[in-house]
Amino acid sequence: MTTDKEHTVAFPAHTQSLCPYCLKKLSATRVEKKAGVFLVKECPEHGPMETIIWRGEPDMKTWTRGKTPAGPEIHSRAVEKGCPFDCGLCPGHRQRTCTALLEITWRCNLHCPVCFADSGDAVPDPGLDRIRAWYEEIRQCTGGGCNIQLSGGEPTVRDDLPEIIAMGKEMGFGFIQVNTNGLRLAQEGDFAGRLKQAGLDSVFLQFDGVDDQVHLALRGRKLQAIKERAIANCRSHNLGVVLVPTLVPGVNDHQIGDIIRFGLENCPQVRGVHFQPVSYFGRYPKPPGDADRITLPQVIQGLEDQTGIKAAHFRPPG
Amino acid sequence: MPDGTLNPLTRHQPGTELENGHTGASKTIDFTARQWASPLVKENDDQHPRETGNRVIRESGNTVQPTPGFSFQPMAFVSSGAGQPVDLDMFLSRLKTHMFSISCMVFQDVWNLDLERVRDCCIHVLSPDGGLIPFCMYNLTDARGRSLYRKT
Repeated sequence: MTTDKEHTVAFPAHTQSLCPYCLKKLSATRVEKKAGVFLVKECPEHGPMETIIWRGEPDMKTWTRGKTPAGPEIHSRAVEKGCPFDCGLCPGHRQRTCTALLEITWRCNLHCPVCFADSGDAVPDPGLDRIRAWYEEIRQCTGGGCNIQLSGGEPTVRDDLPEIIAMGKEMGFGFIQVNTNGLRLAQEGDFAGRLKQAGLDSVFLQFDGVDDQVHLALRGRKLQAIKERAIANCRSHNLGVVLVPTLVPGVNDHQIGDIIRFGLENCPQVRGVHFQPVSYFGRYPKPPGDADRITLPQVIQGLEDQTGIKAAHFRPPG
Repeated sequence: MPDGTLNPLTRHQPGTELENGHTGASKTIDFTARQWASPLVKENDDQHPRETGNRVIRESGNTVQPTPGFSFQPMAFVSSGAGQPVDLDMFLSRLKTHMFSISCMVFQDVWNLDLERVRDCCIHVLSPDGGLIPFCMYNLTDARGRSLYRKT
């Protein structure tokens, strides 16, 4: 039993994880070592393994805001096999939905080495009726009070994207954002206007750096001028833009400050920067090494070192 | 403000009181919706209709697992800079239009996966077959690229 006071300053070392090879559920421990905090686990079949999860200041123990559990009211799944095998969500979940993602296509017009979503032309896009049913399900599960992100694939490859946005707004969703690489926003001057007219609130723009060297390394293509044109077109139609860099060690972690400065130069159209350190989904010949990861405190340190914004101003999630 | 310097609006104070998780989630949803939306829009609730439904706030007196956060959600705005008198009207006007947010989310993969964190996840993907799946679980694959949830 922890007291209210304790859980703002400490957390248990014990947690659970999965085996990367057989997905068996494993006991895991957060272990503090000289180099940082590691997640340590051992599969009876595949042996011991450890991964860096926290490197440097602020101290992991301070990075928590005590809060009461706030799970969803409606559970579409019962607890049967245990976390994370009953997602849907189950009664064991402690947070309601803040943002619901809809993957409205698997197609993409940019084939990146770093990508969350598989993209392929073989799978047909879901029709508008199907998407209406998805919105309806989200509304039923969450009471409607959540933000929507339309994602993919690359959602802007759909010519009916304005209809999809308008449908969500009509169904009562207050905030709809499109997650995009910006290619179509840059190439078709009035596309931003059509999305705005449909009710789009915000563009979640993939933005990995401020020069083509970074774009070439991560996306295999020169994209800086395209990103800038996409932002200019959003400005013409008053669409809010959030810059979203995927941070990869040695590729763009030196541009954290430049990305912030670029964002500020384009403020207020650019509403903020949302960093996403690289994570490893998909097939890998060997496990990613600790040098392949940027942990949260390293992002905060990078911000302090490269912009002068003090680390103390950043807060853990509420 | 016009000279381009930043004035922070947030600060992390460890050891503060226990928050109500439902209130925290609502604040996050509303802050994101306001901050990430188009600028120069008057703060008029009618422009952001929001259906909250009849959710019951559950107060919980149970033990709370203090899971470390792996994201941050701060904000800063363009200030008048050091040495200049702060004009309150200017300050308030810039606050409405020139607030700038800096945030970060560390996704989990099969190697650094911490199931205590998963239970606190609030970004969910709607599976085409139904059900809201925490983002990292939806995208999770084993070392050979086989998905836990996503159907390929």
